[in-house]
Amino acid sequence: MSRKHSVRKDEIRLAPFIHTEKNAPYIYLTLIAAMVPCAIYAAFYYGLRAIILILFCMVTFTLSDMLLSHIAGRGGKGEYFDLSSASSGLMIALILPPDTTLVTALTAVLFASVVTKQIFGGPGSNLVNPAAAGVLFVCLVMPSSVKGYAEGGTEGWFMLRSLIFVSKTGEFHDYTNCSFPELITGNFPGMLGAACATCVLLGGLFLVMRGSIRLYAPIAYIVTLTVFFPLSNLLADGSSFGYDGFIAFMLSSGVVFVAVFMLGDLTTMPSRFTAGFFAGMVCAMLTLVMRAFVRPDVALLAPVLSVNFMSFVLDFLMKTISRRNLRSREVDLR
Amino acid sequence: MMTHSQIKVFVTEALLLAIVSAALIIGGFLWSNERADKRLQREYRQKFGTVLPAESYTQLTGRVLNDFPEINSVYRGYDKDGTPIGYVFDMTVVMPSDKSTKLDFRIGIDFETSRVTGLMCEDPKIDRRLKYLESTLKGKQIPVAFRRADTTVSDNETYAPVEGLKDGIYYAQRLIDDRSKFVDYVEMEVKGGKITRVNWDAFNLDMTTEDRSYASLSGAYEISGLDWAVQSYNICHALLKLQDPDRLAMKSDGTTSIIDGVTCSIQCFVDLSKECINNSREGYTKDKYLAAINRIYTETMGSTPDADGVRNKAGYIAFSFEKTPEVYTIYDDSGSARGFRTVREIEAIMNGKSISNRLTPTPTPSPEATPDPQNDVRNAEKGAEDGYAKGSSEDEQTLTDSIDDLPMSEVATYIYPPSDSYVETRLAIRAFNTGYKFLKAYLNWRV
Repeated sequence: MSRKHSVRKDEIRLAPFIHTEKNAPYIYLTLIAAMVPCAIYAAFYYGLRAIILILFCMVTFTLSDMLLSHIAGRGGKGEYFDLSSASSGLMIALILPPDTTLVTALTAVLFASVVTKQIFGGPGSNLVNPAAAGVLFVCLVMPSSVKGYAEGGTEGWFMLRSLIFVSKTGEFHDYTNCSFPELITGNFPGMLGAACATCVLLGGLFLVMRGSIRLYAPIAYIVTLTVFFPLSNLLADGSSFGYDGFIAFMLSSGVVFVAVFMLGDLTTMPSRFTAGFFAGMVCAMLTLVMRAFVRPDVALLAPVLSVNFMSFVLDFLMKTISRRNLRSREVDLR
Repeated sequence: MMTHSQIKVFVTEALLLAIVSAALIIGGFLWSNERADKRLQREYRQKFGTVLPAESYTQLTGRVLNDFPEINSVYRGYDKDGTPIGYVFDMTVVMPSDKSTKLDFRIGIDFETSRVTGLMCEDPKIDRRLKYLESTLKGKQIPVAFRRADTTVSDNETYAPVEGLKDGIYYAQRLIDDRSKFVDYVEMEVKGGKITRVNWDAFNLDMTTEDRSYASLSGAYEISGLDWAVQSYNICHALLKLQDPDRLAMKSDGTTSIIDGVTCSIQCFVDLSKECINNSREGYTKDKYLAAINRIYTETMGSTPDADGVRNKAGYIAFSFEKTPEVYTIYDDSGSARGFRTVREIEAIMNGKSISNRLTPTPTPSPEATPDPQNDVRNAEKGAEDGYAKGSSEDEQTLTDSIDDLPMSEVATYIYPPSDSYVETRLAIRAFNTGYKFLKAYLNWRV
């Protein structure tokens, strides 16, 4: 009897040989839980429209992913419960301006889902962070619909019209006038959920506790930003070389959110220490340089995509370098 | 896969995270909100102080803003006591004829009087060039228009005079007073068959009160828009140019849209001018007119004006015939009023003569004698609605003009267009007019 037998296509499923508590659903669930403080912040300052925007992004991202997975025949048999869509949708909402319309949000979601995720093979196969790519796309293609940040406060609570009509009030503010209490608590006009550094750090702490974050890149990113910030000032106005506005920049520009939720990502950032550290440094340097020349949201997100693109190259290079002195093909995690 | 206990731990930690973060957010808000408010007001003062110095500002919201795409945001300014003192508009104004031409402005409007408090352009170079405009408009009411550029009456055009005019000085006055006890009169001089001088003014029944033109300049007589004396001058100037009251394009509400700076009703002026023109055709000079009105008074009241002390220093009879409508009212067979007689007609009746060449009766309506609009002969002579003026040919027809979708009748301030930076000035004017339209819609102004 021949040992050879045909396998039907629908019998092919994910290999069941990795058994770990930290599987993909767990990691994404942790990520969502870590972003809950930011979502609460958004709801507190921007009210019902923030809640609607967040839910809209999460639901549409999930639906888009489900539909495209089904079309591509990657639906599976239910053995894998995908939460990456919801987490990406949530992340998109949190880094959008508070008065973003649903159409703009949908554009960001569809670009993130279709172009950056599904085309590359679905969950876990994306080269770049879908949320960063989606928001950067609308910043570049629809700049007038994401032209800055509106004030929160009681008047903004039920301004649901801004979900349909483009708001007129958004603008990029100068945060150097903000006091430290305002900056640390996020009591200033900024991104929907990423403006509160305290909430982001709280989420980051949760990720560290749950072991769902690689810290190489975030630490390198923050350190590089701190060290080279004066250079950015010099580039921006050509005269001052110092730390003027450093605290305001760190706490208001969204770099903390990027460090925690984008550079700590397990999928799109290098897995090796050296590569991760290098990627973090490059991302920070690009941010500091771009900050002087382009709008703040672009300067924040474009570097993330750049290092995402070079992650696999960095990983490959670091792996090759570290193997030079090894005799066998044993795994090296240096 | 996670075990039940692991799930429990996870859920507990996540809930704890949510509770802690909520507490931190609320606590942080309470801790920092006062500072945030102060910082925001400091920023507003820095930003808007030059156009409307105020102690605090609040942003206005509402659906009406959607109708004004050029308005980015509107703020209301308050003084130290919290009393509103004005509005600040942040605008991006687009030239209607060229969408690519646009400028960012901040303008300040006074709360009570809708007068300009300041103007600032985001572009510092243009802002410097517009300083003259700011100083010109500060304290002036909105809306604003150019004195000549946006009206249809042109100094370069010439108009044919009314036929049959005889040289001399002619005069007509109303037989009743207005609510302020002023009696309007028009004096007209004709030389070479052309109207060469026109004066429209009013004296008061109270002889201690100065004439309306002086009263308007001294502030005792106020109307919307320019001072009455200036409006009177403008309308007289227009008649000199147009040579025919019909060309003033008076609308059914008595206003006209084709003359710079004239927002008041010109009904009285048009009627009295027509009476002067008829008098001129008949050679019925001012002296004859004054003698006739003297006679009418004497025969009606049974004593002379001098004896009753109703003749003022200028020699006019400061008297209202309001209580004797039978003197000047034309009645039909059913006893209904259908028009009004002029002084010349009344005198002719007194002399037992018939009336001919009757063009325009004096408009002296009274509550007891309201003419039937369909039968009133004035309707046939009136300038058509919305500024369309009847002319002898197509070329003589003039159409109503407007500025920034506002009828010229609403324009309160006129300025001369600058020789340079015309586009910038025009955009600034558009900003003020858009602000006016917003306030009109937002505050439900009735103009």
